[in-house]
Amino acid sequence: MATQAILIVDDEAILLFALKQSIRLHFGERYRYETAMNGEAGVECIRELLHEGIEVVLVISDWLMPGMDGEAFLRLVRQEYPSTKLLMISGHADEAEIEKLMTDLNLLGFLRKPWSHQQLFNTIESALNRSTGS
Amino acid sequence: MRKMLKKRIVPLAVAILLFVPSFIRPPITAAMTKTVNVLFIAALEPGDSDLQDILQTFKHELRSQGVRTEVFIEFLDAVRIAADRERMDSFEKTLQSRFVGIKFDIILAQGNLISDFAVRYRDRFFPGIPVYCFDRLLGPEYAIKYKDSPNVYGRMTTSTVPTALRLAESLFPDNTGILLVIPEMSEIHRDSMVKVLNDLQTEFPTSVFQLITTKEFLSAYSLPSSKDQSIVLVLLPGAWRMENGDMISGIDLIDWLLKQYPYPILGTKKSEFGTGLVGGAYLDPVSLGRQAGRVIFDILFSEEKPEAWQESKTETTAVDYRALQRFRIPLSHVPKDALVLFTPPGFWIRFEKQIKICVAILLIIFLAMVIIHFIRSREHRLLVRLNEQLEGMIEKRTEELIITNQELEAANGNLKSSLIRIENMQESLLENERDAVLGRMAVGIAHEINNPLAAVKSSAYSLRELLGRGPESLFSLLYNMNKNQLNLFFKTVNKILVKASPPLGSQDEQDKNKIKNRLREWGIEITSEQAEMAYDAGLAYLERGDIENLNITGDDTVLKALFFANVIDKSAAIIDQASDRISGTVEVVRSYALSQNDENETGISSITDTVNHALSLLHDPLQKGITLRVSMQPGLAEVPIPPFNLVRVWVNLIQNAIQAMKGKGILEIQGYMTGSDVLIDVKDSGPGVNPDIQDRLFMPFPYAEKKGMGMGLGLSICRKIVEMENGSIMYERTDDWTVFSVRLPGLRR
Repeated sequence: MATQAILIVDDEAILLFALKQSIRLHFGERYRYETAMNGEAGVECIRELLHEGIEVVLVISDWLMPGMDGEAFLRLVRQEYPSTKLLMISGHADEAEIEKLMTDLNLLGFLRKPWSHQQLFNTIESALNRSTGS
Repeated sequence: MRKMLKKRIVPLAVAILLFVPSFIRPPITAAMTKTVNVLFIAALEPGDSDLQDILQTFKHELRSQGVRTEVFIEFLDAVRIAADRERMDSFEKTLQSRFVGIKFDIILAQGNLISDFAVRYRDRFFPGIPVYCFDRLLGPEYAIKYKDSPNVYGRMTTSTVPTALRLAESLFPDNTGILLVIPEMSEIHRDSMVKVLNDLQTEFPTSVFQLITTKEFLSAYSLPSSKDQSIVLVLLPGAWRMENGDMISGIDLIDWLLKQYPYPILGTKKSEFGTGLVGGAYLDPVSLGRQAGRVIFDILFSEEKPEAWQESKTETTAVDYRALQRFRIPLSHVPKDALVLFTPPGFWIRFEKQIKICVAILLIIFLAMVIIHFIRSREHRLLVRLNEQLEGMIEKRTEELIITNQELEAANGNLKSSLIRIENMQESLLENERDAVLGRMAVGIAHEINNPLAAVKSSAYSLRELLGRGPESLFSLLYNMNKNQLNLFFKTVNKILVKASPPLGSQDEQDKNKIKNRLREWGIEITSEQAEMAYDAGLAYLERGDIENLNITGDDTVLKALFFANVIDKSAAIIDQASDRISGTVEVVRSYALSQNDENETGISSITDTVNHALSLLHDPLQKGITLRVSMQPGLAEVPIPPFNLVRVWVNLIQNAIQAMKGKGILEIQGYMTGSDVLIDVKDSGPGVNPDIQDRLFMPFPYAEKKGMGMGLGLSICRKIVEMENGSIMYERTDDWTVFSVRLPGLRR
C-alpha cells in the first residue's frame, strides 16, 4: 500500500479523469492518486489523506479555476505543507507569467495544456526526485 | 510781498515817468525865469481866425523854450487910422492909458499899416525894444522901408496872390476876365499888385487880368449883366467900404458878395474859406505863429540877433469841393497840389444813420446766427458725440461680438475636434475593449481548446497503454483469466459500459464515498485504493450482487480488467466529448470572426440568438457552479443593433454576473416585451454592486482599479451600444437579485 499520494486539482472533469489515469498507468502502485475539482476540495483531500497517514508528496494544480485559483491554492499548500512539491498546469499563460509564478511559488515545473505524456512524466519524475526542503 | 511790489510798481512808475510827461505841458516852474510882455497890435478883422492860430502857436513856441509870454492885444483899424492923423494920435493915447505901467519887451505888429504905426509908437514910447512885423502881404519892400530903423524885424511873405490868380485861371479856363479886387491900400502895395498882374498876363496871354478897387468894383458891377457872366473875382484881404459907409470884411464880406453877384470868388485868407469861396491860396497861420515864436525868442534872448527880415513860405492852395460842384468844375481842373476842402461826407457819412441802422440790424442778425449756430453746433456736437459714442459702442460691441464669435468658433472648433477626439477615443476604446474582450476571449478560447486537447491526449495515452503499450494491458489480463473470470468479466463489463457515462465531476466525491459506504455496509472491507479503483471501474453503477460476485477482496484480477475496460471506454468517451467541445469552440470563433468581418451584416439582432451566442462563448465559466436559467418570451421583436455589438453586451453582463457570484450562484436571463420595446433582464444572485460606485457604474472605470479582470469599460460600452439606438440599460438591486435591465426598441415585422 502506498504511503504517498499525488493530488491533481483541475476544474475540468474530463481532464481530471484523463490525467489521473495516465499518471496512474505510468507510475503504477507507488502512489495513491487523488483528484479534486477546486482548491478547497484539494486542501480537504490533503488533510484527509494525512489523517489516513498518507503524505501528499506532489500536487498538480490547474491555474485558472473559479473560486480559489491555482496560484492561491498552491500558495496555501506551500504554506501549510512546505515539503509538498508543486506543479502547475494551464491552458494559457505567457513566458513572463510562468516565470513569475515559478519563482513566487517555487514551482518545480509548469506544464502547458496540451502536454505530451513524455513531458508530463519527466516533469513529475524530476519533481519527485528533487530533494525536499527547497 | 515786497518782491511783488517791486515787480509791479517799478515798471508802472517807469511807464508813468516815461509817457506821462508827453501829455503834460511842462509846468511853469521857478526855473522858468523869463517872462515877456508882448504888445500885440492886430488888424481889426472880425471873423479872422488866423490871428488866434498865430497867437496860440507863437505862445506855445515860446513856452517850450521856457519863456512865459504875457500878450496884450489891441486891435487897430489901420486903414482908418492911416488916413486920419488925429485918429492915430488918439489910438496912441488909448494904448498908453490901457497899458499903463507895463513895460513891453517887444511889439508885434500885424499888417503893413500897423507896422508903420507900431514902429512910430515904439520910437516914441518904448525906444530900443524890438518890433516884429508880420502879415501875409509884407513883401520885400518893407525890408527896404525899415532898413534904417533899428530893431525892426519882420517876416516877408511872398504873396499868395499870383497863386490865387493861377488857380482862378486853371479852375475857370473859359473865363472872360479875372478881376483882382483890392481894398484901399498903400501905393507901394498897389504897385506890387500891378506888377503881379502884368507877370500873369504875360504868362496867360489869352486871359484878361484886371486890377480893380473895391470902390470901382462896387460901382461898375453893381448889377451883374449878362456879358460879365464869366468873370472871376480874386479878393485880397481887407475891409471894403460900402456905399453906406460901412466897413465889411472877412466872412461877412464874402457872404454879401455871394448874395449880390454870381461870380466865382477866390480868396487869399484861410479864415475866409468855407464860406463860399471857390478856392484860393493862403498862408498857414500855425506855421506863421511858430516861426514868429522862434524869431522872437531869438530876438529877445539870443546872443546872435536873427536876420531882420526873413522869408517864409507856407503857402497852401485849396479848393472848396462844394464850389466845384456848384460851378460844375471838373476835378481835372484842380491843381494836383491843391487841397480839396469840404469834400462832402462820403457815402458812409451821408447815409451814416441808415448805415448804422443796417449795421445794427446786420449785427443783430449776425449775433442771432452766431447764437443759433452755436446752439446748433452744440447740438450737432452733442449729436456727433452721441453718434460717436454709439458708433464706439457699436464698434466695441461688434468687436466684442467678433471676439465672441471668434471665441465661439474657436470653442466650436475645439468642441468639434474634441468630439472627433472623443469619437476616435471611443472607437479606439471600443477597439481596445474589443481587443480586450478578444484578448479575454482568446484566453478563453485557448482555454476552451487546450483543456479538451489535454484530456484527449491523456486519454489517447491511457488507451494505448491499456490496449498493449503498458506493462499490463487489458488483453494480457484477459489472456491470463480463467473461464470463470472471463465469464464474470464479460457479464459485468456490459453493465458497466452501458451505464457508464463521462464523469460529471461534482458527483465524483459523493459516488466515491457512496461506494465506500456501500461496500462497508455490505461487510466488504476494501482499502481506499481499492475503493478508488472500484469507483474508477464504474462499480458505482453495479448492484450489490454483482459487486459481491466480483469478490474484490480475494482476487482483484477481474476488478482490474473491469477497471481497464472502464478506463478504455471512458477515455474514448472523453475523446469524443472533447472533440465536440473543440469543434463547438471553433464554430463560435468562426461565427465571431465572421460577424466581425461581415460588412453585409445587418444591424438587426434576434435577442434569443445573441443571448445564446453569448452563452456559448462563456460556456466554460458557466458550467462551473452556476445555475443558468434562460427564459425568452416567445415572439420577441428584433432590435436594430448589430449582433456583434449586442453579443458583446450580453457577454459583458454575463461575465460580470459570473465574477460577482464568484463562480457560484444562479444566473437568470429573461426577455419580454413591454409595448413595442424589448426588455432583457440579466439577473444574478451575487452581492450586487458596491453602493459607492453605483452612480458611476455605467461610466468608464467606475472602480478605482480593477485587478486583471477586464478594463473597467465594459458597462460603459454596453451603455453606449444600447443608447446608440435609443435603448437604455439600468442597474437594480431587488430581493437579493442583482438585475441589469436592457431596454431596446423593437422592430415591427
